[in-house]
Amino acid sequence: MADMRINGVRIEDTFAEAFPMTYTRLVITADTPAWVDAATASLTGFATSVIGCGCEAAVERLLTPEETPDCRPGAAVMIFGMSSGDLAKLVVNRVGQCIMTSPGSACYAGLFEGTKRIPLGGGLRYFGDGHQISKKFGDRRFWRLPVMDGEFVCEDSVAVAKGIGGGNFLILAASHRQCLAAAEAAVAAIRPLPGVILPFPGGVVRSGSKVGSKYKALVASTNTRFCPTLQAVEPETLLTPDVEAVLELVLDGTDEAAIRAGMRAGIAAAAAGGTAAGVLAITAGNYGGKLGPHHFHLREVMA
Amino acid sequence: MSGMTLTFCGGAGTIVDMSALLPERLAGLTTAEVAGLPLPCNGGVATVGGMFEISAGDAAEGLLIRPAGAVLHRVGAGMAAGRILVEGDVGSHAGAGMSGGLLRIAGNAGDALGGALPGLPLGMRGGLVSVGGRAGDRAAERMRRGIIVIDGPVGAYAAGFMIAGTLAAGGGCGPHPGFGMRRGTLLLGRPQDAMPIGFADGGTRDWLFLHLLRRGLEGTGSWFERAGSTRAHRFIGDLAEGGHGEILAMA
Repeated sequence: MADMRINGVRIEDTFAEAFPMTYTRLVITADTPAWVDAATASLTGFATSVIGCGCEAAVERLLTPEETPDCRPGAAVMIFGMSSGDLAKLVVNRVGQCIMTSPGSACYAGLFEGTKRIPLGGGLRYFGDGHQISKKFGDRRFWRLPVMDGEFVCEDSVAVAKGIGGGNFLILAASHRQCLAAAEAAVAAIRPLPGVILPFPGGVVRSGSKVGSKYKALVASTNTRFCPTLQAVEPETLLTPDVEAVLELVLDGTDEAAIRAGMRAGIAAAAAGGTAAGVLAITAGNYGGKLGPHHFHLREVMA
Repeated sequence: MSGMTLTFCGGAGTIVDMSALLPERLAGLTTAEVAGLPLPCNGGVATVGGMFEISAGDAAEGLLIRPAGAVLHRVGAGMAAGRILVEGDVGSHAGAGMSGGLLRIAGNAGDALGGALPGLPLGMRGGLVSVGGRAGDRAAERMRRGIIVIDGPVGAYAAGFMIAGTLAAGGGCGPHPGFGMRRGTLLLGRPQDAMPIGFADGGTRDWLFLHLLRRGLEGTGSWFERAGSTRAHRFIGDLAEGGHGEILAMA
């Protein structure tokens, strides 16, 4: 395939390798946007990588009072896990410890069609110690649990569905500052899109990993081929001497279209300033096609 | 409303048991087939065609009933799905034992609205009943699930022995509300003058779940859909029954 460049930024002829995951979507509300932020920051904390955290989670988008069931500010949060069984345990624990504890918060289902349903309030109701109240309005059942600031209202259950995790691209830049600026631009372009989240801090990963390690106890270790400080000693380095920093964006989404749209928007934003902004190349992480069935070829995505 | 229309054409004051005329039972039947169905009436049995003028249409799309001067008991009793709209008043046991669907009564309802049919242990088990006027005694008696919303007042023993569900009466209620209540919600559109017998004072506050109820009532045009507040005084009981039910009186 012919060389591809966007504003002079080289788009490598490679692909991002993603894999099937299971996801759900919650709607979190609170009295003010600040308390929505507090609740969702807690809910999505320590949820960057399914390998180390058990799940991957982030705010999909903020919701206006007109969009939420209880007419208050809210946010849609997506949580990805490896199976519905994993999600069932993780979600109810996170909602119990991070949403129920947050002042004024409420938790509702944000996904109604899927492969099965997992408990929310249905698993937390016993915290009410016999004073919990079930209310069913239409097809939706809610639980009211008495808590110290009033009642915690929580939907009984939420659907889970098949999604995709591990969509990604890497930004290679001439300086750390320029790399970070390009990554921030990419995050800003992806965040408004529906059905896709960036689970890492600020939406960006700086410690990409490879499978395996020289230490037998570790299943993954730093991706030496993309470490600028190891160019001189890493025979398989994928960096040129002018690359000073690399940052990665990892995307989880509802389907291939959501991932593809996110990657396209993110790469376009990262390359918008061109080589003049210090962005030298865009590449992607894969494992030779052995890890996952979803392959997002950068040049096809950006065609 | 598209669907089948039944307009009463008998004598004023005729008493009719309407429990056989449910959308799910009439769905797919022709006008002639519906006209031939037997209907308990004034202690005897008549036919639907002898009592009602029937318009062409499928009851699966909805059933519009015009009572004229008849006393129609058990309208929507046992209904599991579909819609019934009544342009006028209904008698007793409307929506009794109902498990789903929508029953909308533009006028007043008699006793035992959404309650239990004689000999049966449970009242309404699902669905939505909307009344534009007032309702009689024992509304929502032994109710298990669903919503009843009444724009006007309800009579005595509202939500008596209620097991769960929601009864919302915009015009308040008669004596002995929540008698024997186990769980569930009796929502009143006006403050209570006195503490209901058997209930403890649970304080006044804004109730978040009332927003959800309001969303559940969207499209009914009911008093609570129009109410701007979710602040209410809560009473918990019936403590004589060890109940965890609640009477919420809008503050």
